[in-house]
Amino acid sequence: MHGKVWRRNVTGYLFLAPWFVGLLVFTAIPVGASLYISFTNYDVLTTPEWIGWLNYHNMIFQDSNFIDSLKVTLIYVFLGVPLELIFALALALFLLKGIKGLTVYRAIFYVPSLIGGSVAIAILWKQVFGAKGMLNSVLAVFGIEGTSWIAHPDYALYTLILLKLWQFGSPMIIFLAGLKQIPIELYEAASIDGAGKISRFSRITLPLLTPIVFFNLIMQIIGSFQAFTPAYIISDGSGGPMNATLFYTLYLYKKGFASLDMGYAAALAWTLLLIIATVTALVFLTSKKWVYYDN
Amino acid sequence: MKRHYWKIALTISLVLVLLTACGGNNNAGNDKGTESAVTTPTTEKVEDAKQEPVEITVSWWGGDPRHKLYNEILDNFEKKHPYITVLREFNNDINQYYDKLTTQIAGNNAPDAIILQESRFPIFAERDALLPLDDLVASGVLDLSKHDPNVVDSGKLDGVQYAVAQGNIALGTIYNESLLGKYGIDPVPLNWTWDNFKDMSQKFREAALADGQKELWLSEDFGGWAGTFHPWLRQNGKSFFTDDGKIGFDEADMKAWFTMWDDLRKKDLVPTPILMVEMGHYKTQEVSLMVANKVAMYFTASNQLQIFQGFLKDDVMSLSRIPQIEGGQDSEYLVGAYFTIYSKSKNPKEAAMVIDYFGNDPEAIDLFMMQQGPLPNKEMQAHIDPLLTESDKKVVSYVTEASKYASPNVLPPVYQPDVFTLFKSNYEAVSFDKKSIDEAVSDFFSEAARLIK
Repeated sequence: MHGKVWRRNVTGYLFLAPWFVGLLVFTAIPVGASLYISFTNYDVLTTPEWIGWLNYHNMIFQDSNFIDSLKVTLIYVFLGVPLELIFALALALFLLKGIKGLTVYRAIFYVPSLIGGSVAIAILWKQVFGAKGMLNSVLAVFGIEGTSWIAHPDYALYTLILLKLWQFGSPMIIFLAGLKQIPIELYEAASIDGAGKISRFSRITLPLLTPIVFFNLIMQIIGSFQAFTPAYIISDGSGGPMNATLFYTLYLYKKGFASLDMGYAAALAWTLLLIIATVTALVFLTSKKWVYYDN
Repeated sequence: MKRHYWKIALTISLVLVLLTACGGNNNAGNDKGTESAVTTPTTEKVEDAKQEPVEITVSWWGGDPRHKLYNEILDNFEKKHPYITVLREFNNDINQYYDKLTTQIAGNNAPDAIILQESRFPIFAERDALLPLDDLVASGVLDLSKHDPNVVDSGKLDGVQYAVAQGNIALGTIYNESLLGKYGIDPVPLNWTWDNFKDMSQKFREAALADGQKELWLSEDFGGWAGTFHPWLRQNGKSFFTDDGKIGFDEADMKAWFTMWDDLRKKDLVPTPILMVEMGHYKTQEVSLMVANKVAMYFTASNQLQIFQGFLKDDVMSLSRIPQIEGGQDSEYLVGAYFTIYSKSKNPKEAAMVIDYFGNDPEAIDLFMMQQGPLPNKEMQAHIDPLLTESDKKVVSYVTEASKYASPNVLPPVYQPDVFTLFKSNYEAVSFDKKSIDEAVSDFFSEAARLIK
């Protein structure tokens, strides 16, 4: 009996082998190495020396750039994600009505989320929001003289948040799918009972949508903490001006590759993992209070 | 049971194929900006005919004109030595260039011949990333016999030859003489002071505004640029970093420097902070404020004169010393681009041949001219003398002059980029009115203390 089961499974394991090798070589081993490196002073060119918790200590107590990058990233995540989801939901509700050309609109709205994280779009964004960019040309029509939005320390981060909002298409599609699953009978019953539009939304749509909101929230939070390309391109790799666009991952990259402090960069990476894990865990824990499952 | 064996065999063969694919050497054609030119030899050189084909990689940074030039020189080299294929890696962004290089060194697949700045090759040499060249020099493959001995020595570290200079460069003032003349300003004299500079900025800006040019100033805002602060400190007998890597100046110095530039900014005599963030401190000349005709002057390396002249064809570009402090010391020091060979190169001889070709072969020199300043090989410098353009002659005379005032420069410590960024960041805070000068200076000193080990 045991032999038969083994022989049935061995084919499966063999087919799994290439993927497993990949997982080991390209994921597990590098991740383990990075954890080790975070406790050393590895500078890419010489052999690493063990220094214990020093990197982590310096990070928390001696590094104002770390604090700045945390601030910037947290603003990006906790302002950008809710705004993006609200926008995505609003447009999903709009598209739900079944307007003419629905599939066309859906496709158009979805495209930005496919290409939004790319270098090409970041360069385009830099042009649109630059001193001589498209936005200022439009503002000039109304007599407003615009500054360079990406070069100004107060506004630069918000151009990046705007770029994030522009990629609302992918959570929107997911919301749309979730909305379509809500039985129409519920709405009909509610209108018969005299419920208005807002009531129908807050008492039927939103509660039944909470699993989708939960999913989108988790996915977007994890993704946003890792944002890199737009910040790198728009600030020319500097994170400036004055650290206004110093995303956490950009700071990590600068420390590892520009300053050759790879041990420190590894420590930053593991701290980011911890932060994302904590935030995600918190969302999971609170989810019991507000996510409504239909069973 | 037997019918399962074919599945097992198929799986094993797939795994083997995958493993061999992973193990291949992929660095040759994959890099952005790498080109390979394989020439089919029409005539075979007799001594090369017996050689096995060899592939080497050469890397450099620069703007597009330089990429075109070096590629042409390397194409000619390949024609001369058909058994050698030269792969090229080049970058417009010097920071990305170094980022990539360190990654490649960590991955044991760095280019064979690498061009580095004088401030950087010691760092790589100390970490055993560069090959000592003495054997190749002694065997004559890399012929330095006709090079100026002082220049040859500048490529040594502790007496070991690690790098070969492509030329000599000194810091100077590159400016648009035609544009200055248009607004009634005489060409910059060899010796002038910071007060002269302030007066000139005022005069130039007034004339530009009268001419309807709202976005045209004499010079960029160098307040946050440690690369100009350092020579000013040298003029005061100090230095940004000391020999042992500590900060070589005090709060009063930094306040004086920030105040000077902050005053210029408040009087609208330098570009706005926003413009400086967007376009200031160019990565390559083609995207600079000078080529965009928004400034008329830079304090920068002398070898950029010809590059700027190439972009501003209708104007006369000229070169002078940077402003001095009345009664202060000379601040010049010589810098340059150096050719080095990767310590783990599989073909050091061929890499040395490329370096030798660049520095000694008339065919290469005719194209290279003075891309990196006056040539170390004095015979070659004489060879191109009839071909020198006006800009070239200005550079030769300037570097010769500056060499008289030059003294050795302190080697930058490994945390220089971080400290320089901190310096710039604090100046930006002042220029955007987020911090007072006193705050910025004290913040800089307390932060820098943590960065300096």
